[in-house]
Formats: sequence, structure tokens, C-alpha cells
Amino acid sequence: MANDLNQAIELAGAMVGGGLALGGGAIGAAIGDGLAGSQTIAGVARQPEAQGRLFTIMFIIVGLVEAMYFINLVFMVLFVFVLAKK
Amino acid sequence: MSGLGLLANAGSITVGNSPTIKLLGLTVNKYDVISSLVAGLLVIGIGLAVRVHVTAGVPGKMQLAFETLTNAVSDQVESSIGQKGRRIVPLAMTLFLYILFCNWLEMIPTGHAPQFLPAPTGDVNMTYAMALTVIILVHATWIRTQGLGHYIGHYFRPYKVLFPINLIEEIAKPLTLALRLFGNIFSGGIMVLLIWALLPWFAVPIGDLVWKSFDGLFVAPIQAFIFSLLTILYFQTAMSGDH
Repeated sequence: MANDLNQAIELAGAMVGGGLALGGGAIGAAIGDGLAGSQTIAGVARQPEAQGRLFTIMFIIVGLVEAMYFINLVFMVLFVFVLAKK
Repeated sequence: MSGLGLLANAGSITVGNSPTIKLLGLTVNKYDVISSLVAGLLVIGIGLAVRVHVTAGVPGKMQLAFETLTNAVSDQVESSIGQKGRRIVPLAMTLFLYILFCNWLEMIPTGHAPQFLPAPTGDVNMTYAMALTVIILVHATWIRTQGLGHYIGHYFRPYKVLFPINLIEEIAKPLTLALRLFGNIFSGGIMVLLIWALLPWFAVPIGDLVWKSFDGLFVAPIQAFIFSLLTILYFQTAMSGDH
């Protein structure tokens, strides 16, 4: 009985922690992508023929920024499915 | 295969565990190994096919695509490392093509749990192995190109007090390299599971199509490109020094 309660508390804690990790990661990734996109738009507005190179750099930055989010997702999966799912 | 049944199956999502067989005393994730062999054979097959039909005249479409890719990678390597980086070009090409085909294997629907041809890069063992291989190569090239003294000294540059930060940076490189690729591709697989489990039956094909288009057209090439680009950049600091 106490073990069930402990397990329930563990699972609840893991869910909340996982949700926080995902939420914070989503905010960070969205802001980072938005910054990269805004600078790309400013650059293209200033110099339309640089659009190809700016797009390439933007995709590189998007890939790196989204990496933080996906690493957060990996930790969420670790918390919810591995550490608390006995 | 009701929605809730699939979700219950998905509730047994584990990271790095898949159906295994024991081979020569080692535990092997059989479906991941099979699909990584399939992706490898595809890469080798395309290379051989281009090699057979290569002409100095008007190139065919496959040769044109291959030449475009090789030129892009070679330009990137030359602009960052220079002429002595020519040895890195095959490594970068192989990494890009292999990771791209591994990611694209996720698009083929081959069952849910177990998946018979999963994306090998969605297994954390695979990405750890690739990142470790690349980082060990980088450090070995570093020591060989710049000497052991210079290599150890780099941890204490530009200030001696920054040694812990430099150490953490060197440890973080293989970790983020592996986890970035794994997180992107693994979450693609989880999303497909959730689409099949939670959407009503008439919306599943549309959701499947939309998600797989996004996954195959954006995530797969971007992640392959970032892995190989970061490999080239790590080799740049190893071969030419960063200060």
C-alpha cells in the first residue's frame, strides 16, 4: 500500500518534471527559431540576392536550436518512461 | 487495433530497448541492425550505380545529383579546413548519405510495436556509436596534427581557469551530437505512434501524411546535414587550431 503510494508520487513527480522540461524547451526553441528567422528576413529585405546563403545559415541555426528541445524531450522520456514506470 | 490499445502498447515505449537476439554472446537489437544494414546497402548501391554509369560527357541525373552533393561538401571542407582536409570529404559524404537514408527509413510503414524496419538513428545506441566514432577520430587527428603538448595545452587556453569549461565542452560535443540526432528521429517515431493511437480513424491518413512529409522533407535532411557539418567543424578546430 505504501509502495503504491510511493509509486504514484514518483509517477506524478516524473510527469510534472517531464512537462516542465518540454514546456521550457518549447519556449526556448520557439524564441531561438524566431530570432533566427527575423534576422534572415531583415537580411533578405536588405539584400534580396543573398536569399540562398541566408536560408542555408537559417536552416543550420534552426537545426542547432531545435536540438536543445529534442534533448529536453529525451530527458522527458527518461523521466516518464524509464525512471518512474516500474 | 483501437486507439487505446495502441496507446497502451505505446506506453511501453522504452529508450534503447528493442526486440533482441543473442549473437556470439552479445545482445543485438535485431530490427535496428537489419534496417541499418538496409540503409548501408542502399548507400553503397547508389554509389556503385553512379560509378557504373559515370561519363565525362553529358551526365545523367543521378551523376549530376551526386556531383552536386560532392561539390557542396568539398566546398564546405575547403572553406573551413583547406587543402589538407580532403581526407575528410568521404567521411562527411558518407555520414550525410547514411544518416539521410536511415532517417528516411522511418517513412516506410512497417508495423508499430515491433517495427520491422525502424529508423536506426532512432535507437540511442546507434547515435552514441556514430558520435563516439567521430569524436575519437577528431581527437586522434588533433593529437596527430598538432602534437600531444599542443593538444593538452588547448584545454588551458585562453585562460588556465577555464579548464573545467573546456573539459565540459569536449564532453558535451559527442553527447549533443548523439542526442540531437536521436531526439529528432525518435520523436518522429513517437509522433507516428500517437497519430495512430489518438486521432479518429478518418483523420489518421491525413495526419500520417502531414507528419511524415514534415519529418521526411525537413527533419531528416537537416539533421543529416547538421551532423556532417558539425563533424567538419570539429575537424577544423582539430586540424588548424582555433586560436
